[in-house]
Amino acid sequence: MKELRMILKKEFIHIIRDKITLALVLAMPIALVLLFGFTISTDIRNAKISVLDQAKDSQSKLLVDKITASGYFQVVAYPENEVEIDNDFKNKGIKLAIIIPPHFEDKLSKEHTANLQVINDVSDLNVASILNNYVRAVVQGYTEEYNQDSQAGFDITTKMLYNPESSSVYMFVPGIITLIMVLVTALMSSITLAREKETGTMRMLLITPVKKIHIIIGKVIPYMAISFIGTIAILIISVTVFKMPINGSLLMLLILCIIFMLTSASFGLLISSISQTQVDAMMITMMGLFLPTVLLSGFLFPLNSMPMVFQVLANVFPAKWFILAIKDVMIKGSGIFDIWMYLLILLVMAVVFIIFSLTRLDKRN
Amino acid sequence: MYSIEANQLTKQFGEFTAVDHICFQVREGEIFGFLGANGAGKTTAIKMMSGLLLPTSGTATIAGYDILTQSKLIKKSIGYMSQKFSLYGDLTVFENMQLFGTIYGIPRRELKDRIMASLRELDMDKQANTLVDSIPLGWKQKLAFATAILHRPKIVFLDEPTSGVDPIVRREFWKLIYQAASKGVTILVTTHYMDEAEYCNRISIMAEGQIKLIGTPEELKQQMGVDTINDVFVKFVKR
Amino acid sequence: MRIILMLIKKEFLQVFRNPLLLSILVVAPLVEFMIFPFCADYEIKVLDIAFIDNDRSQVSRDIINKFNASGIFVPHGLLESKEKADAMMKHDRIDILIEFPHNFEQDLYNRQNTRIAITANAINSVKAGIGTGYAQEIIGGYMQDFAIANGSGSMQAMAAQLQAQQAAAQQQRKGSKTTSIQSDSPIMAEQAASIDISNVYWYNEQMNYKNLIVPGILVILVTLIGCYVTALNLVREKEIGTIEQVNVTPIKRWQFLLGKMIPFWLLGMVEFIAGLLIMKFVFGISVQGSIPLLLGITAIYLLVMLGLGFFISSVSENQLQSMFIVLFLFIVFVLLSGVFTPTEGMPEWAHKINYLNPMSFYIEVIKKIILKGSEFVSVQKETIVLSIMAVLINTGAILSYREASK
Repeated sequence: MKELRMILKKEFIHIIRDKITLALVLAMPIALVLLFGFTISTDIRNAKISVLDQAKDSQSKLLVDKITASGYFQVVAYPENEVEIDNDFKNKGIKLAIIIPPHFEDKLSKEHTANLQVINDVSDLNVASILNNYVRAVVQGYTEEYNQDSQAGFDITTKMLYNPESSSVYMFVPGIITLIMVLVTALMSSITLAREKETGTMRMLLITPVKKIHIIIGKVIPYMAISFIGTIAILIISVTVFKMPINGSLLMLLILCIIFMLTSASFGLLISSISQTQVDAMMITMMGLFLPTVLLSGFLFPLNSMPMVFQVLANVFPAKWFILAIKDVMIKGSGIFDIWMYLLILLVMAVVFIIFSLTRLDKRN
Repeated sequence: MYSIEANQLTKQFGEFTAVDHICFQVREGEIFGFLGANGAGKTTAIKMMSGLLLPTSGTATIAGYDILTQSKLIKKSIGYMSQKFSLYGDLTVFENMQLFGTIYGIPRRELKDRIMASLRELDMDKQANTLVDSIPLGWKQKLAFATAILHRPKIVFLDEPTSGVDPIVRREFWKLIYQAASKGVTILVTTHYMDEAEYCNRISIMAEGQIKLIGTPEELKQQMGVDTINDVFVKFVKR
Repeated sequence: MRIILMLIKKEFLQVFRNPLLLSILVVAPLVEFMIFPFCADYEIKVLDIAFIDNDRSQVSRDIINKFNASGIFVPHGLLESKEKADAMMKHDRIDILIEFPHNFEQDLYNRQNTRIAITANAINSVKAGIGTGYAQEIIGGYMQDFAIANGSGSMQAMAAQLQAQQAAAQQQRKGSKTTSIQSDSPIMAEQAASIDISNVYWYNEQMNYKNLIVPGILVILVTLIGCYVTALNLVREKEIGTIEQVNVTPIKRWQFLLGKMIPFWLLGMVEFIAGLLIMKFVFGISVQGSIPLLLGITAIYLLVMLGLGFFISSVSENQLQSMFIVLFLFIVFVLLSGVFTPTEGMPEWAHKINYLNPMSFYIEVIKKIILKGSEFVSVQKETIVLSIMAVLINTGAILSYREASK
C-alpha cells in the first residue's frame, strides 16, 4: 500500500508540474461542451436566397414579402435568368433560389394552381432539407391567407418522448463526456507510460520490487481523477447552461462514469503496451480509439444506418456501451436493473485489457 | 588574445542562481576543465557560452565575439557536444556527419573525404552506414566529438563527454582531445571524473554556481597540499 | 539551398526508416478515407416502428401496411398495451410508436374529429424529427387517397391540408418530388387555389450523401497530416535533445523550418492527390472544376496548417502539450467549419471566430471546386485569406522558434 501511495504521489507530481498540460486538460471539456452547445443548431436564420420573379405582379410581390418577413430568409439578389442564379450560388453564397412562374397571379385566380420552383444547393444536404421545410411552411401560410380561411379537422398529434423540445443537447452531452473520458484517460495514460519507456525510467521502475500492478494502478488513477473532474464540469454546465436533465440517480451516473474511465484507462494501457514511443502511442490512440469512438459510438452518426461490418465492429469499442448506458441513466432515469448488462460489458472489457497489458509487461522483462 | 573570456556571467532560474558571476579566461589551444559535482552549474555555463541559453547578466566573448550580440558568428567558430547524446539515432553515422557538415557549409566535394578521413581516425569507417541507434555508447561519444570538430572550429565545448563510458574508451577519447588541441583548437570540457582533470592544462572547480578554485592541476595540488586532484576536491568540499 | 536540401533528405530518411510512422502518415489516412464515408453518414435509413391499434379496422390495417411497405420503417408488430410500448421504447427497441384510437374508421366515415398519435423516442432529436416527418407523410398520403376514393370534398380538403402541414415538418431527403400544398375554405371548396413546389437539386443531382461527406473528410485528413505530424515533429526533437545539436550550428531559423516543412508539404500533397484518386475511383466523385486550381489552393492551405503545427511545436515544451493543443484546435476548427454540422444556425460570435478558422475557408473552396466546378473568381476571396494566413502563421512560427532559451 505504501508503494502504491509513493507511485501515486510521483504521478501527481508529474501532472502538477506540467501546468500547461494540466490547464489544457481541464479547460478542454468546458470549452468543448460550450462550443458544441452553442454552435450545433439546426435552426437557421437569415439564409441568403435569391428570387427570380418572372411574374412581377402584386401576388408574387406579396409572396416575396412573406418570405422575407418570415425571418428565415434574406433575399440578396433578384436574378433575371437561371444563369444568374448559378452565379449567385457560386459568388453570393446563396443557399436556395425560388423561381416564381410568369402570370403567377392570373394562374392562381383562374387556374387555382401555380408552380413554384425551388432550387436547392445540395452540396450541403442538411441545410438544403431544413430550408426546404421553411419554404413549405411559408408558402403554406401564404396560400392559407390567399384562400382567406382554413379549416381545422382531422389531425395527428406527435409526442417527442424523453426530449419534448427536441433539443440536440441530449445527444451531444453524452457524446462529449465520452470523448473527454477517452481523450484524457486513455490518451494520457498510454502516452505517459510510453514516455517512461522512451526515456528508460520504466526499466528503472521494473527493477525495483514494486509490484507491476501497482505501477499500473498508479498510472491510471491520477488520470481517472482528472477526467472525473472534467466530467463533473461538463455535467454542471449541461445542467445549468443547457438544461439537460439528470433523471436517474446521480450516484448511478457517477458509478457508471468511473467504470467507463476504468475501461478507457485499460484500453490506454493496452495501447501503450504495444507502442514504443510517445508518437506511436498518440497515433495509435488517435487512429485506433479516438476516431472509432467518434464514428462508431452512435453519438454523431446513426449506427443502424451503417453497413453491417461497422455495426458489428462498433461492439468492440467501449464507447458504444457507455453511451447507451449514460443516455438511459440521464434521460430515461434508468437504474441498475436496466443497465447492468452495459456495466458488465464495460467491466469485462477492462479486465481483459488489463490482463493483456500485464502479460505484455511481463514478456519484456 | 583569449579564446574564451567570461565576465561576470550569471544565470538565474527564478530564485535559483545556477551560475553566479563567473569570470575566467581560456587561452588559444588550451584544454580547460570545468570540474564540479552534478548541479554545480557547469552545463548551464557551457550552454550560455555556446549560445543555447541567454545569460541573466554579465557576458562572455568567444573567439573574440560577444555572446549577447554576435551569436551567429560564434556559432560558426565553435563545436559543441551535448551532455545528452544528441545526434539522430535514426540516421546512419555517415548521414549524421553529412547533415551537420552541410549545415556548417563544408563544400560538397570536400565533405565526403573529410568525413571518411575522420571516421578512419576513429577506426569507425566500417560503421559509416550503420544506424547511430545501433552502435555502442562509447562509439557514439567518439562520433559526437568527430561531428563537433568536423567543420574545424576554433573552440570546442564538451559537456560531460565521457560520462557513462568505460575507462578504455575514456582514454581513447582523451587522445582525440589531445589530437585536436595539438592542432590549435581550444577545448573547454566539463567532467565530474577527477582523474580526467589531470589531463587538462588548467582547471576550475565549480560549486554552487561559483568558480571556487582555478589554476593548473599542479598549482591546485600544491595550494591544497595534496597529491591528486581527487584529494583537492575532497579537501575543498570538507572546508 | 544545399542546406535545405540536406535537411529535406534527413526528414525523408527519418520518415522512411520508421515503418510505423510511415504507415500512420501515409497508409492509415488513405485507408480511413476509404472507410469513413460509410460510417459518417447522417442519413437515417432504418427506423424501428410499432403500432397500437385500438380500432382494428380496414383503414388502420391499410395504414399499417403502408408503413410496412415504405422500406424505411422496420415493423415490430402490433402491441397490446401502452406499457409494453413504453418498455420497448425505453430499451431502444423502437423509435416510433403509432397509436390508432377506438372507432377510428367509424369517425372518419362520419366526419367526426379523430386523431392518430405518433410518439417518437426523441433522445436523438434528428432521428425523431425525420421519423415523425416520414410517418406524417405516409398517413397524410393515405388520407388524401382515402378522401378521393370516398368522394368527399371536405375530406379531401382536410387530407390535403394535413399533408401540407406535414410536408412542412418533413425532411425531404431523396430525389426530386412535388408535394402539393393546398388549403381550402369551406364556402368555396371547389375553387381553392394551390401552389405546387417542385424542388430542383443542383450540384448533387443524385442527392448522394457521400458527395457531401467525402470532400469534408478529405479536408480533415489533409489538416491532420499537415498540423498534427509537424506539431509533434519539432517538439520531439526538443524532447529527445537532437534540436540542441542543430541550435548550436549557425543555421538560420527559416532554413531549418523550411527544411522541415517541405517534406511534410510534399507528403501532404501526395496524399491529397491520392485522396482525389480514391474519391474518383472508389466513390465516383470527380472534380467538376479545375484540378490545378484545386491543387494550388490546397498547397496554400497545407502551408497554413504546417506553419500552425510548427508554431504550436515551438511554443510547447513536450509532445503531450503540443498534442493537446492541436487536438483542441482541430475539434474547434471542425465544429466551426461546418464539415459535419451546418454553420447557418450558429450564433454571430461563432461566425466571427470562423474568420480565423482556415478550415472554414478551405472547405468552401473544396465544395465550390469539387462539387460546383467554380472558377478562380469564385474562390478568390478564400485564396487571398488563406495566403495571408499562411504568411502570418509562418512568420509567427519562425519568430517564436528560439535557438537560445531564456
